[in-house]
Amino acid sequence: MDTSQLLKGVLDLAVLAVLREEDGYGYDVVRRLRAAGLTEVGDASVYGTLRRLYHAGALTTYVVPSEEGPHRKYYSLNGTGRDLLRRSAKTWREFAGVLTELVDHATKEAA
Amino acid sequence: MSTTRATAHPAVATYVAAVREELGDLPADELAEIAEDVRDHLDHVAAEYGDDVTVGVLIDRLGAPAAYAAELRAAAGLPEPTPEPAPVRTGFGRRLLRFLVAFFGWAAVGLGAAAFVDTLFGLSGAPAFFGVPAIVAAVLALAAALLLVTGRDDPVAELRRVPTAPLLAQVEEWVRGMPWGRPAIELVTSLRPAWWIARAAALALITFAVFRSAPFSAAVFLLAMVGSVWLGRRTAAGEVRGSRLLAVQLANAGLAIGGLAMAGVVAANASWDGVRYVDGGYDYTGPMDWDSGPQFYDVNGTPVTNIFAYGADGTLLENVRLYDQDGHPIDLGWFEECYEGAFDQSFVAANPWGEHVYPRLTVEVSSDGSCQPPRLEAPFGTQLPGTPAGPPDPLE
Repeated sequence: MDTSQLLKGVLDLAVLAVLREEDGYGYDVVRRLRAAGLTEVGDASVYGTLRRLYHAGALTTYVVPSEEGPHRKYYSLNGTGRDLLRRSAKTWREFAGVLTELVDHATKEAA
Repeated sequence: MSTTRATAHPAVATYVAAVREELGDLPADELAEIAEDVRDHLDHVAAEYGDDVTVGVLIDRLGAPAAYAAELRAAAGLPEPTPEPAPVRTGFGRRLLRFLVAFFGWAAVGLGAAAFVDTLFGLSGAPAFFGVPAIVAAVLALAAALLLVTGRDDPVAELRRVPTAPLLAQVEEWVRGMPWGRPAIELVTSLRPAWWIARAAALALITFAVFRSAPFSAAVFLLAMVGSVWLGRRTAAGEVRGSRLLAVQLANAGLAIGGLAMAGVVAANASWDGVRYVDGGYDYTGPMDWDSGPQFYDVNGTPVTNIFAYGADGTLLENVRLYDQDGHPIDLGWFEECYEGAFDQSFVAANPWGEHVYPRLTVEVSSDGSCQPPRLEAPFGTQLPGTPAGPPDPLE
């Protein structure tokens, strides 16, 4: 099954969850998502998602200049973002629960 | 905003420019924001490869710029680009027009710059030499651009297909990549209101060059300034879009080039009508070499210092240029001058068109040592005695 298709629906949730632990800049968020196991996540998708969440008012940004290398635009969750994360997480757990139930049940029948 | 940052690798600049190109349908401000994010991203990726990074490496890692742009667009929830119209075969006429827009556009920029430098340093002595061709080229480029976009659904996309147009995006990307790029762009952006006034002044200058009426030009300036500031504020707020924005940008380019060239022509005419003003007399670069010109003497042995030519109807001819049998300008090697202190303006009765232009103006030093205003002292006045008066004035 193509996980990149699945990822599209839940990337918002994944990004919000990563930022709940600690503020992060774009490339840092990409790396943390990959390290968490979402190896197929696309760089541009993460940057796009951060931009959309920011414009939706769920994130705030601040820039940290860097002596060497590119400067870093950090994103952090604000109240709206934490609220969105809570609701999305609830939706996800219910959905995942239903689907797990369904898949396990179907597997048993088939077995 | 950080102002210290590493210089972008050329591969990064190329990739970012390609992504920008893909997202070209977005509003300029939004596009600039996104391009900045993309650049930060690519800088991080490039940093992992050090100096070995190439466009090929970036494409292996991130996909083609088009795919990157599409992914970003989808994830950020940006509007899809309006689908390209079915590829109609590009006719010869259209390709020719695109070439002409590029050719005359760059010619106008080059000639305009030449006219500006020429006027600033007085190289040719005749700013119209570059100024007029610059205006002609600008008008031709505008005409070709208008023909090109007439009846097109997407004039911006059409202009983007003009040869060398994508180069401009790359240049902008390069500037942004420089350590001084962002402060410079912020500075230029902050100068917007000055430009709103400058373009009104350019319009007034062109009006003056055409109609030669100071009050009318002043009225045009005031009206244009009100309109320009109103339009500028709307444009800056992003309220002007699409083909209207394109029209504003084309008019801006025309006003910049036309205004510069007209300033040169007007400046040239201003000094042409009278005398050249020289500061202090120290930086005077005119013909100080007394041996350079031939000396002529009249029957009494007095040096000839001026020449007055009268036409067939007996009227005094002004600004006559004299040449000898070999085409060399006839310069009497003598001119009147008056310097008035180191800090005052002084007069030199030399004609800016050259030292072979007659009659020369007379400059006298008064008894207190100050310069008299230069004047034309013709021995017979403006009408040679004994000749019929000039043609009747049509207004009478």
